[in-house]
Amino acid sequence: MRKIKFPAIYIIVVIFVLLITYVLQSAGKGLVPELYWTYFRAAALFVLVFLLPLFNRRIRTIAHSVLKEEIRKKTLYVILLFMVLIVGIIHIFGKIAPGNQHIFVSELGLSGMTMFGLLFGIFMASTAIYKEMEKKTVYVMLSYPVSRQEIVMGKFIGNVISVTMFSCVLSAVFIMSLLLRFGFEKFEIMLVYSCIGLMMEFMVIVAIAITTSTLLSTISNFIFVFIIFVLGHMTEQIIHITSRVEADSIKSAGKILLKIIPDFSRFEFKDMLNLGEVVDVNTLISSFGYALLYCALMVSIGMLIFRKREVDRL
Amino acid sequence: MENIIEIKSLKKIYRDFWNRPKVVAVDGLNLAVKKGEIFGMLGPNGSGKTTTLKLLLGLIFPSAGSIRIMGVSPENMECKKNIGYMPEESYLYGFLNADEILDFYGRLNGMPEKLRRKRINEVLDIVGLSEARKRRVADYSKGMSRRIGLAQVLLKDPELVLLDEPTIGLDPIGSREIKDIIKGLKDRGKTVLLSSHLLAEVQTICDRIAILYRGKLVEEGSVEDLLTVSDETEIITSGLKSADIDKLKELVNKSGGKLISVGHPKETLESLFIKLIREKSGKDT
Repeated sequence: MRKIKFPAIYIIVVIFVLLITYVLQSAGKGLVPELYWTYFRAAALFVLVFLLPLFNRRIRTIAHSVLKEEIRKKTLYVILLFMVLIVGIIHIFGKIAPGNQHIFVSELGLSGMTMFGLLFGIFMASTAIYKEMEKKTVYVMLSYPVSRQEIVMGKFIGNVISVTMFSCVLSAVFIMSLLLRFGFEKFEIMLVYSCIGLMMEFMVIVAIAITTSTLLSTISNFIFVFIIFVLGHMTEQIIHITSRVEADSIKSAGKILLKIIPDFSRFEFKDMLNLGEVVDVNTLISSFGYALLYCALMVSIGMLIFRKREVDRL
Repeated sequence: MENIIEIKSLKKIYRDFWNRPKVVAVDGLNLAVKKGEIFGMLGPNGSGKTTTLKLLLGLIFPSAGSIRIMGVSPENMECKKNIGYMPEESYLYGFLNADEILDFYGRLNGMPEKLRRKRINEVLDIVGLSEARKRRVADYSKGMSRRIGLAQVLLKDPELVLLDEPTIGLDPIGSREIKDIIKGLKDRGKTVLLSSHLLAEVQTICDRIAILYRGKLVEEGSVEDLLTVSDETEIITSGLKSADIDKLKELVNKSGGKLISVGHPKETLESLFIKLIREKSGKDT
């Protein structure tokens, strides 16, 4: 009998954990509040996607090297430039915008962060595996006792940590600038939630880019992930279009597309900020669980593809 | 002697996008490398040497046939702990320095910190990069990159060392140093499999060789056996006068033999170069 390898076990464990929580949830209906199950699933996925792999020394080593590479790149200068830009924008537009100045500036800043974070995330993750093959560094790495699955997982975790660090720095500077400009009385907690939502979105983008970087070249991967990003933000429009067309084939194609592409509207809290609403923590945790599940599935697919990838054929 | 590598009927066919055969890189290769020997794979460009090494490392997968390294498949993780590989060009992370690169590979190999630090210092000394250990690898010259490539192999202290064109891009002194390190590995009981198209290099260091052409094995055997011309005799003497040489010619003719050439033996260009440079550097210091 063929031995069951790492990605297969990984997918089985993820599905098993989800199944067991649903079974326990329905068995103990009423005993435990429904929300706790959402928390539990998110926590279990977090352990599976990040914590457990980090116990593996080789995954940790690869992730650490990714982080080191990103820190030594010119990326930090881009962050610095963006910080200056944010502060500049806040001071200029804060003066000329009428009405709810702070909301207008917040939206502007969040859009800027989405753009920079997206570019950073896609550029970084799109090259993660492909560059290893292109520069042939993977030749030496694979002569060590490292499995291909560990390489994919290490790259994913390293890239997620890098992009999260990047977003944290941006968010901190952005929020600090707003506080300095408008003071504490105008501070909206939704701004922090929006930044957290953005980080989840970047995490999903990194997972997609890592997976496709096992197959596609940097440029094609960049274009592919960007298309996914656009489609992921158009889920409502896709639902609307498919509901209006009569052709069954288009309807089913739309349904399939909606099942495959990530629903980025789950991480978008900008509109709520504009309406003065506050997202509840449960929605935030549920979105986090969704992001983790999507990442787990994406990375598993990436591991399966890279397992049998001939690394000398680009 | 026990075989450390066993290749049986190995075939590698590269296919195009439509899965049609494009190139047959290795075609029915049978090879066995014994423990403790230096084995050379020779062949012109495109003869399948590098492809064979890639197959041995599990970087690509065979279309047919089998490979056993130390009795197991090349993908076996325990087996990889005992394999060192230096590629044709040193494909290393340019953003790291020598110390960090070796630390990275040491960690991947599961070496404990104390041993890792000790081994890093040792191998950097062996390859002569101790002083450049804090410089980014991206700033290294080609020769230095080759040395750090070799250092990561020595760091593992593997049982089997796979070297792809080990001396390419090195000056004659660097090349001699690498050859000395390879011989040192053999003296310590390690097995070395190297691929090269530099015939003189293979001749001086290998115990056995295999000649490949268009993915097929053309010849295999010990260097000694393959290069010995059994129906000719070489006599090297010193202090012989021209009259004695005439007598020798006569003797050869009388005994029914044929004197093919008489002359003074020549040094190799490599040994002359090394001798001159060492003399010069000795004077300078």
